Amino acid sequence: MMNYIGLISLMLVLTSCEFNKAFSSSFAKEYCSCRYVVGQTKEHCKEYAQNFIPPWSIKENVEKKYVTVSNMFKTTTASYVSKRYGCSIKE
Amino acid sequence: MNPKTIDKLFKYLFDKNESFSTDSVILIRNGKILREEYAKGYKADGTHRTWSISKSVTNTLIGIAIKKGIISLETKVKKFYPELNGENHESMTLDHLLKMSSGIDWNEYYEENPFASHVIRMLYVYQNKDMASYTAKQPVIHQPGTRFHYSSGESNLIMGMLKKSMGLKDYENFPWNELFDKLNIESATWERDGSDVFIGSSYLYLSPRDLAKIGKLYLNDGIWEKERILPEGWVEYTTTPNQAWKNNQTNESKPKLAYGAHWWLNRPNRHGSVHPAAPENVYMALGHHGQILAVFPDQKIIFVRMAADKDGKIDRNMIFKFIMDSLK
Repeated sequence: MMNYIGLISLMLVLTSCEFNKAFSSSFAKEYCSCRYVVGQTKEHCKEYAQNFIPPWSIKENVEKKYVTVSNMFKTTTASYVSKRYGCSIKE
Repeated sequence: MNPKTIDKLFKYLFDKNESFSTDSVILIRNGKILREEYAKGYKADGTHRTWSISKSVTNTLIGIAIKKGIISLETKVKKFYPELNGENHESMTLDHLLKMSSGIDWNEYYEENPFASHVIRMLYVYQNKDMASYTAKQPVIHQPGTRFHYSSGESNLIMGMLKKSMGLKDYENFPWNELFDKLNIESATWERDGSDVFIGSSYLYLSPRDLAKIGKLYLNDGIWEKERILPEGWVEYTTTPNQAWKNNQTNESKPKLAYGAHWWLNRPNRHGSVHPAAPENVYMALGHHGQILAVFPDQKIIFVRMAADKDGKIDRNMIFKFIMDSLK
């Protein structure tokens, strides 16, 4: 029971702070660069971009070269800009 | 170099039973590739993450900018970042940033407690904003120039200063016009933050062969095919242990990698060198997950390793031991 309360408390803290944006951002950014800068496969990049908490959803648009990732109540899109400037986080 | 010992080196680097994961390796001596090898899915001209090796190439760009009179080591950070605050912050210069001795409060590490990490916030919460400004807003807690403290924020502050020194139009082409094109580097990608500042701490991508060209530029004292790219004395400045790092060593109980200006050095503290198998004047650009560019000035050797060591760490001293043993 205490563990359960602790987990709920941690989730509440995470949802209220800016830090939880990092979970979706880091996955989106590293996945985008892995796919469109380094040129690796989806499977490889999913494994590479994995951080502390697995993403809740990953939506990739291969044609337009962007990925939208949701995790810890936040959503981030990272998109490929150009050969020179690689990927960047949009929002 | 003894080919049998080189075989042992490459066998070690690509050993599938080890916990580390090598993607590519190049060994160069006297300007010639002695051997290169690539794991499945990687190739000579394929670009790769360099992570913090980006910092050492940031040093290259600053050297070029100084040579061209765009900025100087004495340029005050406050001139471009008035939000700087804390202990004697007005005295902080570009030189302090290059030597990782700004005194800015910074937590680089994240594996034990990611919530306390400035670098995670900078890279993933503020990436679409302004990383240099985020760094400048952290309080200065030590007199600039007195204490070495490794910080990715300082590299991005440097890149921010460079942008503000020249304006966006010149800045966005600067790495290509002044460095990559001159070295025939075609694989470079350098990602930017939301204020169009190159992420000097982490996000330069290069092929292994192109990364080796950066090593060659430093090995040749900043000269590329008879053209001086870096100012005279820049490589010496970069590869001399800085005073702030020396100050830190009085409290150290074991060897620590030395630091010059955005390059790591094998120079010893009073307990010796971190890599005793390598000469003390070896200098290195190092990155997360085992990226290595090592330059052996006396032996005219350049070693490049690109990797994805997410689970285990490679033993750099072992690599250097194989290299030195191969010369016997």
